[in-house]
Amino acid sequence: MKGLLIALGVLVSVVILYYNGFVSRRNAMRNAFASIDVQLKKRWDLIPNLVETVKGFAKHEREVMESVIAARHAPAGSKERFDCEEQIAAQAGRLLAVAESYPELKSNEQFLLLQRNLTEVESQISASRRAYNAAVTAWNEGVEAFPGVLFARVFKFERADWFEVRSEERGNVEVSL
Amino acid sequence: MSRWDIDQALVAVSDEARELEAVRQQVLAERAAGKQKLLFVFGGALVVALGFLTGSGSPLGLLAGLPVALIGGAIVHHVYFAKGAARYQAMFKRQFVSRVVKAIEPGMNYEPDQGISEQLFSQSGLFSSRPDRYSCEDLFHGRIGETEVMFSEVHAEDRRTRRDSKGNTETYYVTIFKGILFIADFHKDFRSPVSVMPDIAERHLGWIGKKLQKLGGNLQKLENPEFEQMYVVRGEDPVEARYILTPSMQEQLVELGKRVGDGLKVVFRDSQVCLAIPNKEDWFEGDLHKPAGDRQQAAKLMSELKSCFMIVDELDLNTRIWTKD
Repeated sequence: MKGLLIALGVLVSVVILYYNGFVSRRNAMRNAFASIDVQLKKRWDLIPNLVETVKGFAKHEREVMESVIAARHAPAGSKERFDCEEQIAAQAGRLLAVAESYPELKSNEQFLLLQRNLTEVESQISASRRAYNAAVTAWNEGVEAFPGVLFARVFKFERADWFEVRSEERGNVEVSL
Repeated sequence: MSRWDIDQALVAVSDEARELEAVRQQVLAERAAGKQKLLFVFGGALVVALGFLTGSGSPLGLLAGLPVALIGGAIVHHVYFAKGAARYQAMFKRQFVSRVVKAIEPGMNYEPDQGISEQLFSQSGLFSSRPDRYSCEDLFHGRIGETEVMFSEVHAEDRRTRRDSKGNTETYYVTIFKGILFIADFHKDFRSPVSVMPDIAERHLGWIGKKLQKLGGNLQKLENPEFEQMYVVRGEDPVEARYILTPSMQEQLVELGKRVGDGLKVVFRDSQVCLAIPNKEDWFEGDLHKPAGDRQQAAKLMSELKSCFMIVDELDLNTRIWTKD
């Protein structure tokens, strides 16, 4: 009887340890996901200023940008929202590339400051995504490796998806004026 | 022409080399005179020893010449050898090395008798213990491009005691670090420190070492397998650790690690990057037995300087596209 109780105690301890491990990995994943959203918000705040600054220099690009901004209606943290943000990132990149054709814009202090801020935010977004992917990897290892896989099935924990760069974003950005 | 061109540097320092060569000849002449004086001292010691031997009739009389040889030899060595060598070395560093540094990188300064302080060494976060004995020399400081830089040679030691079988205690020193301590302004702002240390546990213990690493806390696993094999990264904030250690920064640290050899430690803190590069040799020294303007000696000095200066380019620290100025 005593032996059975000890074995039961050990089993309960192992289950608690594994469950807490899963919770801490899931929180790390959620935290990393939230930090991406924080950075996307920062970028979002910069976009109207960028559009305003390039107004008059690159009319066509401004129109493209405004249409993308109008399409940004998906709820925060959703996959659709991130897809929309991808388009914004690509358009912002195009707007910055436009500056190469306008010497006045290249020497505009406001534009240069925005350019640095955007580069900063893009680096932070990239770091947040990599942190999220690392957290997803740790989570998936827990869910798929033995003996974690047994507990994951009991608690109905499933593997998560990584952030992946869409194939069209791997190519060079083309700027049409 | 490259700023690392040896012939170009030798032309820039030709005046200093000429002056230095005159001093070197003078020191060599003093040493030649010193050798004669040494012969004289040892000869005198022999006479004294023989005198005592014949006087006392005991072979122990020979020992009487020993103090004469030792004291006389030490005085001659100090006056004719050590003093001259130190004078030449000081002049080599103050004039020759300083001038070479200015020719290569006008924004950099060289102070041979100074070094990175013990306080900065301890604050860097590169080492867990405070040294009990600390010495430093050859301080280089200033600006390389947009980046504020300082580095120096450092020797930090830990005091230990041991007891032998008879119960006697002996104090001895163990080196914590000997090499170049390099501190540079980092081009990005960040809040929490990130350390990149040699991955000794994983390298020696494999899978078990990998598990043991986790016990240290705040472990960050990064994407580059070669980087992961060489280093172990710790940082409180996973996003900030990745903001600093971008994929290209990981590549750069792998290349730097390969170049400087085993044991490279890097800490990013207070908007700075601190590197500890182990080095058993004494760098930036002149060789009394080579002409001041000797090409081989200049090449060695240039290669030592380049090894430190190029870290700024290797880590791309002059790229200022982020919000930090």
